[in-house]
Amino acid sequence: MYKIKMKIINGCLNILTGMIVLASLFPLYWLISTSMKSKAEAFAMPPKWLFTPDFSNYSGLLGNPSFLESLKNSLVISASATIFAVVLGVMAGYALARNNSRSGNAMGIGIILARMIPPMGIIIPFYMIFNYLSLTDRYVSVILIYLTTVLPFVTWLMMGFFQGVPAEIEEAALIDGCNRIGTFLRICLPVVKPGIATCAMFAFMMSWNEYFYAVIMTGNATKTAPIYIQSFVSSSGTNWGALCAASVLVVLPILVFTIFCQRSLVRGLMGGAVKG
Amino acid sequence: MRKLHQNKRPENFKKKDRRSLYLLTMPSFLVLIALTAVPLIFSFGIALFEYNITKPQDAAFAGLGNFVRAVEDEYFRSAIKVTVIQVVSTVTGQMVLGMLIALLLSREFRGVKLMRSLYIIPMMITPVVSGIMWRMMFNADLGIINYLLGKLGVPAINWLGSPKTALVTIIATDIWLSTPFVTMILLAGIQGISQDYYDAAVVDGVNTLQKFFYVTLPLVRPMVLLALLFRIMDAIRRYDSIMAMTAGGPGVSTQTLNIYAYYQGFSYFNIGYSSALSMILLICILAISLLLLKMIRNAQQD
Repeated sequence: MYKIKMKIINGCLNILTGMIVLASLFPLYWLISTSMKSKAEAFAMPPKWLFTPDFSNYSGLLGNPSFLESLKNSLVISASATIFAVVLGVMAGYALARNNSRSGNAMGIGIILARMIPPMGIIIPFYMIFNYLSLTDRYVSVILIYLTTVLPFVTWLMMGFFQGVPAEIEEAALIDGCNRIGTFLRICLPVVKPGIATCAMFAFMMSWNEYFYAVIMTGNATKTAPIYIQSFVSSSGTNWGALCAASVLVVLPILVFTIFCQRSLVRGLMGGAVKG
Repeated sequence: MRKLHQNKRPENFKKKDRRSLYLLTMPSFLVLIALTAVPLIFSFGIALFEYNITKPQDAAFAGLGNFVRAVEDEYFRSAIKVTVIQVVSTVTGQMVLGMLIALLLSREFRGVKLMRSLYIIPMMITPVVSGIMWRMMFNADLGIINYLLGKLGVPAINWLGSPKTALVTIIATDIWLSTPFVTMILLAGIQGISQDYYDAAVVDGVNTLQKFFYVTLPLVRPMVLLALLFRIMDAIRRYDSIMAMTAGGPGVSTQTLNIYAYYQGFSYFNIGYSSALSMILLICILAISLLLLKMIRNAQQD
């Protein structure tokens, strides 16, 4: 009797889980389906559940140079921010994990605090300085300001990964006459490769999705994709189909990538963050 | 031979070793100092001035005048209220739902692996896109949500058009977007708990609810605090999806402190006042996060 009861309860819970997952994916389904509807169908009431997919929104966008330009800007900015953050963050993360001195800890806390600063707190001086240097609307200014959020994150996460590498592995090499930089490059780095991949992915995602700094720091020459999407809304009545298609195209790269490497991502985030 | 040689001068070696550790930390540290500490000090300086960028000739030192002005400003008070409501309700909602869903997903059954992967998807969505998407779905006349509610007999609600429901809508959107993040962290925590604890609990004859409160919850406490830290910080400075959905309106009903500071700086160009508001925001974030960091450290030591 008890067993049957448990089976029924478990079955119900499984169904509930499935329903929650489906419900949370529904908005995305709606986004994608709207992107394939014509203007009239997009807001038809009652909504059209069955419709013939129409890819004209997509072909329109892919033939639109300013949209492609914004994707390119996003790619250049995100990739550069990711590379800088990973190179600097891996080095610092390693050293902070191994340096237990007072000043080492203080530097570690300083880097974590950098992540907590609200963007509003630094954007005005940042803009003024870059305006003074005539560097606004250049990739370099956007990349640098993205580093303020991405670099602390990578450093913090990498510190956790390196703490997970037993110090004994290195000590043997250190005694054998290898110096710090040598052990770091030859022994530690290969061990934390999955961690570096996780960091790179998150760094890229954070930069790709960033909006606040982009609103202020980018101009016509550096407009990123999220900014471009937002500009759809205001200009001459919203074309929802095209807007949804653009949204799908912006979200898609991140989505595909993360679905494929999700396991290592989750494990990586946990391994790094909790120890850190 | 080599080994002996090294051991003869450990002092010198240690010194050199420490130096290379600093050498590795320095680039990151200096870049961050230059990019955050310097602007921050600058910002604090501006906050002490009455300064509108369109009228630079009227700039004047105001001391703490901007902070006094904030206390007397009714929009500031309203922004604080909106921020507190927004942060408390989204984070509470995310923590409770995140925990429930993590518990559901931590059980083993057919298809659960796929569900775990699918459930995390909203977390990856660009926040601006999420805002636009929900704005479309919450549209009063043509949105799918009112349509579905209509099927259940609920009259159409002007979600984003009325001050009362706009804030609720904003909160719901962020719960959708970020609950998966909380779930992901808690799920990893729950899966890391050794089965032995549960077996011992079964021997003691506890029920499911007791098992949760006396075994699971205490053991995932560091993860709960960690998720809380990330979520509170991000909820306080939330910007993208609010701008995409309501831009702070209708009226000031969804205008958080962050958005108010943004408007003061970039719409009214009162950069002195805007900086003062940002400094208040910074102090709140720092106080909350230092407290939580301390709690995390204590929880890890237990």
